[in-house]
Amino acid sequence: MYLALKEIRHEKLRYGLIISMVVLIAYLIFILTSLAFGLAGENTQAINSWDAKSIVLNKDSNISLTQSTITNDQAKDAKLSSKEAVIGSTPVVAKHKGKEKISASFIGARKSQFIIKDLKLTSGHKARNNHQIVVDEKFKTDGYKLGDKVTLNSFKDKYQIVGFTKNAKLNVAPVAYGTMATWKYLRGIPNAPVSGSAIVSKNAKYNAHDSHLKTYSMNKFISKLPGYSAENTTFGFMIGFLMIISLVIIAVFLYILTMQALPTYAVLRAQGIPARALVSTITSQSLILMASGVVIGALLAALTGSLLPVGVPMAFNIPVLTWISIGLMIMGVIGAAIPAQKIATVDPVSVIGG
Amino acid sequence: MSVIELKNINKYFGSGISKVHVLKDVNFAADRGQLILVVGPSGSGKSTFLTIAGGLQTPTSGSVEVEGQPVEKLTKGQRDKLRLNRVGFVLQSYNLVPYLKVKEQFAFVDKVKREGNLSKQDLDNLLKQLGISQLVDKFPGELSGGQTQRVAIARALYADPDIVLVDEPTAALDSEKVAEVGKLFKDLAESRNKAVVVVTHDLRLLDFADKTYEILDGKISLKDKEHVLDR
Ligand SMILES: Nc1ncnc2c1ncn2[C@@H]1O[C@H](COP(=O)(O)OP(=O)(O)OP(=O)(O)O)[C@@H](O)[C@H]1O
Ligand SMILES: [Mg+2]
Repeated sequence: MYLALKEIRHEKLRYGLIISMVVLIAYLIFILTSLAFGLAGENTQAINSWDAKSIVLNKDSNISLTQSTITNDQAKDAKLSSKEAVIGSTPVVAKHKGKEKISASFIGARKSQFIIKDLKLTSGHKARNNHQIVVDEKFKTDGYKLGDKVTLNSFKDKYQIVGFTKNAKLNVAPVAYGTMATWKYLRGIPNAPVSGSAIVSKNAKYNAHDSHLKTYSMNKFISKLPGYSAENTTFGFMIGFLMIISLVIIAVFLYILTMQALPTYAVLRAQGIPARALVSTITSQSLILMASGVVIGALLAALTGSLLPVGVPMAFNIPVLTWISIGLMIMGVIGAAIPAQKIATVDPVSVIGG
Repeated sequence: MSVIELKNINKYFGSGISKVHVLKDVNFAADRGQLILVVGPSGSGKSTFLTIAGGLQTPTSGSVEVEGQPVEKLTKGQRDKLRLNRVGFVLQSYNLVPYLKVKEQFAFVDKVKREGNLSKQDLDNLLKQLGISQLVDKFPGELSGGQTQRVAIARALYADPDIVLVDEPTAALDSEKVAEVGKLFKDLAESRNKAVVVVTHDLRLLDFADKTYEILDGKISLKDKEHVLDR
């Protein structure tokens, strides 16, 4: 530790540069991770708020909520308990004169079932008729107020916003909750014998007893949300690569420094300084570099998070970010391994005039 | 008893047709309070001798004894300790850690070897004796060649070793400086009661030695100085 700190203090420029590299990488990793979580959250917030374990969809819907329909007969056979709820989903564009259009997910559900029953509002009340809706707070941040009357898609009908709810996003779009009749109307099938798009259940093993319907776990359903898996894989790749880049940078840097300092290490070994003390020097240097980079990167990321407009989906998941920081530290230790091995095996004889 | 003794040392390098016999039946002893010179031409085996004496290399056969203790019986860690505690090396280059101030070179020894080092008072005296007291806050890069060598000597003596092994201390020095260095090592040996072993091809140091060995082609022999000069 003594040598480690002394060297860093003496070679401020060198170590400053490498720390700034680590800062940039750590910062990028933190921002990307938070974006990944933010986006994933916007994909699944509404689903998570339902606290459901499984979903029943039409077998031929390709696990897509908007492609699935459940007939009245099927719903009747499904023997719904208080743990099940039927939902109807369709994408809508909400408009109000002088305000920004909002692409939303309309979800129709029954008052008597848990989706609406357990719905928590931040203000207003739940829909009491077919011309009232409860919307995600995204509407509020875009300037909509309680009592505003919006049109949905190209229908002439007006729907009044009577309540706001938090964390209601599905596939990155804010959710508008309304009645089942409104959903059927918006789908253009007001009189069809259709009950909804899907049945969600809090029971993981729920079975709808119909050969045309299939139960999927919520996780499976989420992974099939349009873009969800692709996004996460992309982020995962980027973060993984940045980890590897950080490893390579630190390893190359320490390796070059070590090779330059090898004669000094050889003399220290000749003087009887145990190899262990020298190896711990390079390892602690690597850890110091990584730790300072991670701390500064984290501070910058936090600062960025506080400066970003509300609309940018960033979620700072502290446990995950902690694990990533630990991961970076481990990269530091691995990066120090080759230089450490060089130091441990340096031949002191090499520096004695040959 | 000699503080360091080499008995019937042989050292071979390589094998088969490229096998070379570098040290041949070397016998050597050094006592406290003496400056011992080992002279010989380039390639005669001086460095090999020095590294074996300091426990950095093991001889192919024979025995090195430090205060009666055979070095070849020690483990690697024990040999590290031996060098840390009993042997001081003064090498030609890279002696000092470049990013430590002169005073920190000693502080670092304290970190690794917690006891038996010179006291603050002793260190001050040593630095005065070497004429480098004013350099304690400088980095090695800020020192002249001669100053660096003196700091390296102080560094080697700081752990209070019994034996000081010195490699070519006068390479590229003019005669006046050579005399200074010779006198310095002789003084240190006497005033601090160390066995100082200097390997060199520089015959200008002969005047200062209490005892002179000559290595020729791997064979070592004790000489009086007229004999060495005769050659
Ligand atoms: N590791 C080694 N492998 C093979 N041969 C070696 C090795 N080390 C030394 N030698 C050989 O042993 C002989 C003596 O080498 P040594 O370095 O001891 O000489 P020296 O007296 O110190 O020479 P110089 O004055 O040039 O430093 C040389 O012929 C050298 O080539
Ligand atoms: Mg040599």
